[in-house]
Amino acid sequence: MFPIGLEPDGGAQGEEVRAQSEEPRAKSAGQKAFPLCATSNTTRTKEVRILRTAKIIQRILATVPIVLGVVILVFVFMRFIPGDPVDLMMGQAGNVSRQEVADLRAQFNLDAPIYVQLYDYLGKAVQGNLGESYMEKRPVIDLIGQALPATLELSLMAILFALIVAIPIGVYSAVKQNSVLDRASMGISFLGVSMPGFWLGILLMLIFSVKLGIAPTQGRIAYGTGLVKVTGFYVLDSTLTGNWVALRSSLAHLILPAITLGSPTAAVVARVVRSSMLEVMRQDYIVLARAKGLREFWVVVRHGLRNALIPTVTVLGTEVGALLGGNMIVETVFGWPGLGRLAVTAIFNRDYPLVQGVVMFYALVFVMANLGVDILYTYLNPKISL
Amino acid sequence: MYRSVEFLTELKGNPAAFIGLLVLLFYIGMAVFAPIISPHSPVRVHLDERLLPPFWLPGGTLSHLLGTDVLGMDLLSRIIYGARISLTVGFLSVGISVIFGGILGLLAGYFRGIFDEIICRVADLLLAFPFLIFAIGIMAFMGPGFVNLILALTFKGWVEFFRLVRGEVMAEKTKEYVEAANALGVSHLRTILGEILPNIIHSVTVLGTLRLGYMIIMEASLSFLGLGIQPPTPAWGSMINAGRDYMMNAWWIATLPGIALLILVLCINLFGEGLRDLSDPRLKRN
Repeated sequence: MFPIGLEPDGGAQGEEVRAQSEEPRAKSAGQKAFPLCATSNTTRTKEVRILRTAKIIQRILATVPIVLGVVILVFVFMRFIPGDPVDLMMGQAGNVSRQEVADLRAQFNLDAPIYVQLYDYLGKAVQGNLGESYMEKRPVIDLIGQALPATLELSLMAILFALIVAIPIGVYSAVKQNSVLDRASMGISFLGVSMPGFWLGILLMLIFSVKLGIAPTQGRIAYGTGLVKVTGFYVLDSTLTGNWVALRSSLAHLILPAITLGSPTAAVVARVVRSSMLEVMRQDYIVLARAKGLREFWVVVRHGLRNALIPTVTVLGTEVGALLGGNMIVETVFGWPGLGRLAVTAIFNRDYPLVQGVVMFYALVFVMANLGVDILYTYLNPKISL
Repeated sequence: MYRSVEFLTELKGNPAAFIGLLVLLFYIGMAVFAPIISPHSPVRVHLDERLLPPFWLPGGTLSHLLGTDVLGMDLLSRIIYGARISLTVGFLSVGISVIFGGILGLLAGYFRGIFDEIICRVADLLLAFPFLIFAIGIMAFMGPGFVNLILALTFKGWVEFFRLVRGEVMAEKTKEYVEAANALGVSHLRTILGEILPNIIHSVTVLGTLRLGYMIIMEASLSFLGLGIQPPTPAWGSMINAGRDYMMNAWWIATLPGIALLILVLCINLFGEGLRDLSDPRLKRN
């Protein structure tokens, strides 16, 4: 699944680089023709750095048309909806004259040809103006900004949960391959991959909220905790202001949605860590590290895990997409006032500018996350094709 | 015939995958024979039999083995009928994605050029959207319904098959047998269909099986959000959604359809992984 040549670990290579850079430097035109075999290491590092920067810039530039395409695609889709926004608004307003409809069309620029509208929209979008919500009568970008911290808090907690659970399990399963625990955890992770997120959420809610009554079912925080909003991240805000009641309440509200959202990711990560650990632990440099007399724990963590994490990072990139989609589901189940719920509510209200804005925002976040992962990957993997 | 016998024998070597296949066949049988095996009509309302618990709980009856929902509709019958929706949507959306993505992949990978460029850019663009978000967006614009649901799932679903097939074709094209076919003057169409396709159909089948479970979850998720199949048509996702309001006093409405869904997806995935191990021994899980 991951056709990635796993590399000798960075540490050993670093030492090698240091040792060789003591040698007298030789730079000649002839040697530059074979940069990888004969040039001194400082030159090589420099070349690698330049190539890497070029690669990253190239990758960033490749993102630009995608972003533009996303905006155009979403915009064009909006035009396919039967009935334009004015029809929808008029449906709610009741009795309106023809003149008023025409005025409104002109006001929303809907009487212009579609490319003019698109150009107009792009121009505004660049300035962060994504239009105005029909229902809330507020700029879409404000509504997104307001809901964003809730979604970020939930997503970060979910990723944290996934990594904390999955990495130790994956490493242990690989080190003790075929043990009872390995089989059990791989079985559970298989279950996790096949588990529909919304059903897991309902199950957790049923057990922990309805039966045991130890976790709240809906929302981000209980009423009357007197939380002062600073950043919009309730856990952070309550810690900053020393409001421990609010901290407890927000953590209690956070835990079930975060587990629900993070579980599929945890399952995937555990499996990837396990399989890449198995691959890595067979490499010669692991044998070497053991032969040096390094304690097994450090062999596993420093030489094994470090390299096994490279494919994990790639997987996390694709998991961002799953997390973003999962957000919509989990926020609906737990009444979490984030972007996902904003989008779902907007869909049912037929609040198209808001739907358009949120879908676009999601896509852009996804594109950026993948870009970030790719860039991180060029740094993590010393042998990536430059 | 010989090949399918051989295939089954090989699959028996992997009990998990074999069980997965059996359960999938069981679900298919359940969906096909739903009118015969389900004890009640899935949409018949019995207001005097509302919120009956499953038979093993106090108050449960044997005539409604898994209890009833808030309108008194028989849960077991609805779960049996729900398999129809899930499997139809799953097979149709994967099938259309395979055909559409496969044809484009064959042509783009074989002929390359500007056509390939354009399709690849479109694919890149679609990949910029998380799957569920994209499907939700499409459903939001087109409105709920069966056909729209299939469209929403295939609109992006073909991309993965396109990429797989395109890559495989490009790899196969460098091999001698394709060069030989070209040298013999075999037409491009016959080379693609007669020579290349049989060699890549395996990996397409594997991906298709693995995507089947995913599409079924996507359908259930959309129906859960109220954007897919609408009640009273029995679909597991919308049944689970309807059960959310009654978790305090009727937990079975939301949980039981989920178990049916989980088992189906789990078994499809087990079967899919088994297929993958069979078709490519190198990928066998250590």
